[in-house]
Amino acid sequence: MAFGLCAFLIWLLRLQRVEITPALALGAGLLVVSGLWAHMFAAPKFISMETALSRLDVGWQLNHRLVSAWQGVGEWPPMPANRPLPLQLKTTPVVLPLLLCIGGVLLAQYLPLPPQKIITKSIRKEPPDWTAMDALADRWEQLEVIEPESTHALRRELELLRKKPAEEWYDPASLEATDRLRSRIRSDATRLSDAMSNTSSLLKLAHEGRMQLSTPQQQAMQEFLQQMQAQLQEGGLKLTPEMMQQLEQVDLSQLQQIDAQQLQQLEQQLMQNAQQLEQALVQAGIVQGFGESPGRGGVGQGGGPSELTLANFESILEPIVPMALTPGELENARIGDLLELRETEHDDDRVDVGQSGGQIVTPGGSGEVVWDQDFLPSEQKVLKAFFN
Amino acid sequence: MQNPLTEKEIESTSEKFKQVRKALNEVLFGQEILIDQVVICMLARGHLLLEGLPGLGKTELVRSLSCVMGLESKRVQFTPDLLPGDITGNPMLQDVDGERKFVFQPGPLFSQLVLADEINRASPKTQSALLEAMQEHRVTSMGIRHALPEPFFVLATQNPIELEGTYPLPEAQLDRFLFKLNIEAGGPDVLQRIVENRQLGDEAQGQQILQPDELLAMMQLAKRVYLPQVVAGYIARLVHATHKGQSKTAESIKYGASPRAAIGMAAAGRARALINGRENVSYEDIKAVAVPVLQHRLVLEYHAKLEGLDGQVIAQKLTDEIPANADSLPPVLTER
Repeated sequence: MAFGLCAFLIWLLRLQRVEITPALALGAGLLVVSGLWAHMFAAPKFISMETALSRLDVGWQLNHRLVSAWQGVGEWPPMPANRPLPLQLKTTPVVLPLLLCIGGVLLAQYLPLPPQKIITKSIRKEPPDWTAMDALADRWEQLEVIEPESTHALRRELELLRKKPAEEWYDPASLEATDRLRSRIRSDATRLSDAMSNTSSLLKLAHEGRMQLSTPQQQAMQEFLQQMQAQLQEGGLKLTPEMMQQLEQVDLSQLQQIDAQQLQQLEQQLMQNAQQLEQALVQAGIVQGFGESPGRGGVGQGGGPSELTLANFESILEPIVPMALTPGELENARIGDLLELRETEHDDDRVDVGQSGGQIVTPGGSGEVVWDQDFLPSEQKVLKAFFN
Repeated sequence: MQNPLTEKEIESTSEKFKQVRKALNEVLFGQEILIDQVVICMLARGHLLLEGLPGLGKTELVRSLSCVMGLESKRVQFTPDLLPGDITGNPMLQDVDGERKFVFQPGPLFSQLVLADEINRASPKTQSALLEAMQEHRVTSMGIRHALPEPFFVLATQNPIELEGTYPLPEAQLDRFLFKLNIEAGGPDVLQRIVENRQLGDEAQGQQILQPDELLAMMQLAKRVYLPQVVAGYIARLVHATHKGQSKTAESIKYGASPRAAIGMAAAGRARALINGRENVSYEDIKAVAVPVLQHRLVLEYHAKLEGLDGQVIAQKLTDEIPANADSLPPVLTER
């Protein structure tokens, strides 16, 4: 019974992947207790010494000389020569239960457990963000836009997260670490994409104005390009060394000496890379792209402005013909009636920020907002110097 | 525990009885087992009931015993008209020192070895007088007790045929006999030896081996033979099994044996152990004496008698049925 209980405990603990030493100790304790209990139970049934000797006397035909000697009558008789013990132990009832018990314990100890993956699979599935970041790393490797080491770093960090016990994958610490990694990747990728895009714009500007730009302007652009190059090498994501080498060969201070076609190719490639990088973020689900359908609402859910909500309103913003209001109209006016439309100058109309989502061309924020939020002080300084 | 026997005492006793048996076997041919049983019974201080057909050597046995053991013996032929006084003795009016007094004249019972021939032919009154003397070793006449000589043995015989006009001994009186032995006729080879060695009318003469005092001393030694508890338990279970419901064989028994049978069996076992040179009784001793001790003490059921069974057969079946060892073996042990 003790053996059976011990075996069951061992099996149970192994199944739970728990240390079995306590079960062995408990089994040993149970063995001792059950042994004492069995002894107490069986002791009244033990045959007495006199009975045992009597059986030997009968078996060896000693006419109870052993019994008498045990009682102090007469000498102990010599051991009969060449006579086996009249009693023998039945091996089966003794050995079989013992073997069964030991076998049960060994079986519980060494029986192969079901694969753990089945258990963990049933318990946890890895967070979807990890899968998304894995997909992003795969995409980066295909694009060959960024330095391979950056991709490897991302994979190492994901691996570190996966090494944690499955039970901890969804605890706050893991989720926070995942969120931070995701945010950092998004930030780095966006920064690199912006840097490439800005560099591409700079090269385009240089390409288009290569014949009109003065020498100081060319030098200012060269300085700006060097700053862009520095940005492309900063942060967690870096441009590929091949592309960096091509950029470093460009000297905008000597713009006339640069091959226009080569400049245009470089500019286009940078722009394309920037777009691919952004698309990769969207495809991997790291960033919600600007969709063509109404958004789902909520903070950070993206989706852009709804087609219906802005289209009707903006359709009113057609060129407006000034009309005078007559007193009769004022008298008959009700709250909410449109009385007058005037064409007027507005700051929002000065800067067109381009397509913001879907088919709608919306007036973006003012130029000051863009100036303040999208450019670094150093960039502003360069641009001011250029446009002044 | 009594003072155990010394090796010397055991050896000398055993040697003496070997000689006794040898001497008796030289007189009685082909009765080795009977002789052994008779000797055991005498050493156990018991009386003996012999049953057998006439001419098988009962009287011869008694005469030989008296010679070999140096005992004074007398023979009484029991008849229906035999009176108690005829065997115990009678007061006779005699002139003693000028006065007429009743003087007790001892009967044939005043002998160390008495052969009561065909005891079942005497009246119950006479049988009772004999049985009282057997039990108490004394005779009372006119209020005066007269002790019988020691050692005192009664060897009674009864004839299993011609039972008309006989008085079968009641069970209470049969219980006084330690052994009942059946005398069987020997085979042709035994008869041939008898024919070759004996003449008609010649009396058997055996060589005296023992003195009465020696026999009395050996009887005392027999009392000191050690009886182990397991053997005593076997005796108890054997006697207890003769009672209704205590064994399968007991279904054929109406009344079982008394505690006197158990005591007698122990005494006989002791005597047999001593004769065989041992200081303790064993199962074998008890098995050897169980049938002679029990067979005349069992009152059989009617159906058993119808089946032709007798006390000897039932006692043997009982001995075979009851195991010597009280406890059964544990399940993990087996006998080889």
